[in-house]
Amino acid sequence: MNFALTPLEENFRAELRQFCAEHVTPEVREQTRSGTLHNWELHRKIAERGWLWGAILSELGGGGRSPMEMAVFTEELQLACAPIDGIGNIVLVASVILELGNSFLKSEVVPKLLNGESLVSLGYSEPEAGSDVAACRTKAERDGEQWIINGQKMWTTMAHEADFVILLTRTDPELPKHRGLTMFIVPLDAPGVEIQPVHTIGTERTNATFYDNVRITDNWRLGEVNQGWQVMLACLKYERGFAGGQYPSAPLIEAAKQYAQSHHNSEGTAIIENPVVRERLVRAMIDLEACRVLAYRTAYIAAAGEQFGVEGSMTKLFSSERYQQHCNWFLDMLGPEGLLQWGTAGAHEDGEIEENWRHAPVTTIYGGTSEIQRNNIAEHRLGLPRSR
Amino acid sequence: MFLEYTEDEQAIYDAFAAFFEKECPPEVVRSSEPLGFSQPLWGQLCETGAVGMAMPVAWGGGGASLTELGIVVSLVGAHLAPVPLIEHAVASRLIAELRQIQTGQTSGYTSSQEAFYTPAPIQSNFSQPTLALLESLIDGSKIATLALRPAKPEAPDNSVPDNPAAKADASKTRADSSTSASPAIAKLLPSGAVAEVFLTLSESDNSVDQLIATTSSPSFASLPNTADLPIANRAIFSAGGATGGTDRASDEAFGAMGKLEMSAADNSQPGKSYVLASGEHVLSCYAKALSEWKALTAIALCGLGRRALEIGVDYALERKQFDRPIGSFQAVQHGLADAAVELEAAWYLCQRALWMLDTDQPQAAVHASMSFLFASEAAQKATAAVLHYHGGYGYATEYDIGLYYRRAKGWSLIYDDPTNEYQRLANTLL
Repeated sequence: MNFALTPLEENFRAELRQFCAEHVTPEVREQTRSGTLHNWELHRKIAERGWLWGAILSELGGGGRSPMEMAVFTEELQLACAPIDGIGNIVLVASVILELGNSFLKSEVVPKLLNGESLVSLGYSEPEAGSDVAACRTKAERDGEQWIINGQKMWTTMAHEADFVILLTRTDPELPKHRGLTMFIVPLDAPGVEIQPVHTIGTERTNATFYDNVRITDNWRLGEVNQGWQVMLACLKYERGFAGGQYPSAPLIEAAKQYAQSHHNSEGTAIIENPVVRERLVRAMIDLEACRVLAYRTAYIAAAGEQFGVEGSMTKLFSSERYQQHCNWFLDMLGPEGLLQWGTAGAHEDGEIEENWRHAPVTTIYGGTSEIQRNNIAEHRLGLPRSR
Repeated sequence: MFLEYTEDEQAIYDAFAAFFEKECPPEVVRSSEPLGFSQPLWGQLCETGAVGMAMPVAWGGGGASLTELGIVVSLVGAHLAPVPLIEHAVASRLIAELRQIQTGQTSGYTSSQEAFYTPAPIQSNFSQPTLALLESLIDGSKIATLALRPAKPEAPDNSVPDNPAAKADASKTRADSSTSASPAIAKLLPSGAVAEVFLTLSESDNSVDQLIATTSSPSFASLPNTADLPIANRAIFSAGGATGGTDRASDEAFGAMGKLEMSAADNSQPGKSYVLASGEHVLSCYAKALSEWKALTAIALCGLGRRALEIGVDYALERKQFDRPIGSFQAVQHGLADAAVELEAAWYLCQRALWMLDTDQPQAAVHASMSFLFASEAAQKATAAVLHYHGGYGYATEYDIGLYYRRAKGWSLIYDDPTNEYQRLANTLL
């Protein structure tokens, strides 16, 4: 056992810290309040440094930064509260195209993604297909050299900023559920695509996207016809590899500490002297360390070239559920004033804790619900029978 | 980073997994109750060299790291082995460290490349009595332990209950106290029912901190307790002889500890206490020992929890209700999955804390404490969940999960109410 970073990893961390100190300004951090967790200026600076190419495996033609370097990359950007929700999708889709895609997609889509020009949205979920994503009904029908797409996708976050969507479709309704699926990359400016905002209690804007007789050429197909589920599995592999969001509690803890140190209760005692507050802060700090070792362990398994699905599930499940707990603790600590939102006179820590609390519910839902993660752990770590 | 066992670490694991599998089945655990100590198992463990593996090579120890010792300790946890390995190793290392400082030796605890079971040549200028004591600690013929909190002077008329040896000690102590320092009792001393030597921090009147070593006969009778831990109250005698600080005086103390032979039946010989060391460095050495105890107990709790989870999974696959294994029910699966996640996090927190202690990182003490708190809760949650999934059988003593459930609480609580430890951590971190 050895938890030391290599000099290369240490240097990368130092470089990232310097970058964040310079570019992740308070204004950039406040990007979240626009509802879109993406900032083009910051994004392009990240791309200029080659960090998007760097995130792609070298066997796929990328810069091949190690999983541990990528763990450091996501850790530092998250600790700095950089709005980087677009990056995970980019790395995932570019990786899958490089692994399974045709030369058209490799030359038309991948460079735009990795050079910082374009974003891509994930078009898996549908109104009737959430965790059971293979229940997808969006139809793609062949018409000569073209495909005609009809249907609807949910939670296509970033679609309003993105140039592309990776779209799971049903191409053969006669085949069993997992076999009649085909994956496409669809340009979002194609005629017949409509993007409608879906507003959330976390301020965040996501979208529903509608596809009404959208025509695309066969070039845009990703992987073989009716092999969409294999592409989907590859997507999940890369999604868990990048695995954003292990440290959502970090800025929350800072804000809570800041508040507790600078405020007093009605009897004049500093909040930070409240033993319950002290214990909760320490518990949250311990949980954050637990998130860190789980994230490192996931990266370590990935670096060894092994399947890290279970470790990814554990990290995601633990960090999101504890984050919700922390949000509740620290919002309660503010008392009724905790209800006040940013920009309101009397809002503490400029509403950051309240904002986190509203964001928290989605974290145990997206990227695989807690129930899906537990199923995965029970089946693949504990060897219990599949229960769904 | 290297977040798995190295080849050498794996070899240690394999050897000791086989050892405990063979020598410490649940029957051994059960037959050692209520004392919580098996002399034959301790003897066998001593023969493997594990007992002195983490002592400095220069002293004839194995020079192993805490990470390596932690491998054996995690197996002690997994098998609930009734041996005082953690307390003994930590107390022995503390004695060695203090002695090293006193004699200006700097061999330190740098992990040796030599396998820990290879006897190393002794390269020190210690006196013969000191070496005799260290030898008996390294080969385990003398068991040592340490008190987890400073001993407080005993209030008058507050007699020590249920422990004849301690009672005898205490009456002797009271006789002594008429002429010297106030007597004290090391209460609920871990492994106190079986250790001959125990160390206590004493906050002395003149505000010089002292580490007191006491040698007396253990009673081999523990205070009846939840987890069948070998805990006992032990009297500290007025520390005569050595005044501490000077090499000559300490040598005397070491020598006396090395020579004094105690047996369970023999209460005629009174015990003796010595000032082993005094001065500012005592506090930091003791704090380090306490951190080692926390991190090692934490990894033992991880081993305990992981084995309890295996027991739970096996049971869930075997036990059928409604014509299906209960392990096929999602409600059961999800409870077991939650236990797995907590234990996974605990495991790596503990490994990191041990690594930090081994490499002298400034945050090591904080992480030892964090890992202890986290692993305590993880082990308690896991054993409680698995007991629950056993249904009524989990409540019956016949099933092993109850052994795990009780020890998960006992090994955690023997230190302190965790809310106090959270507050101490808060004092450091906030």
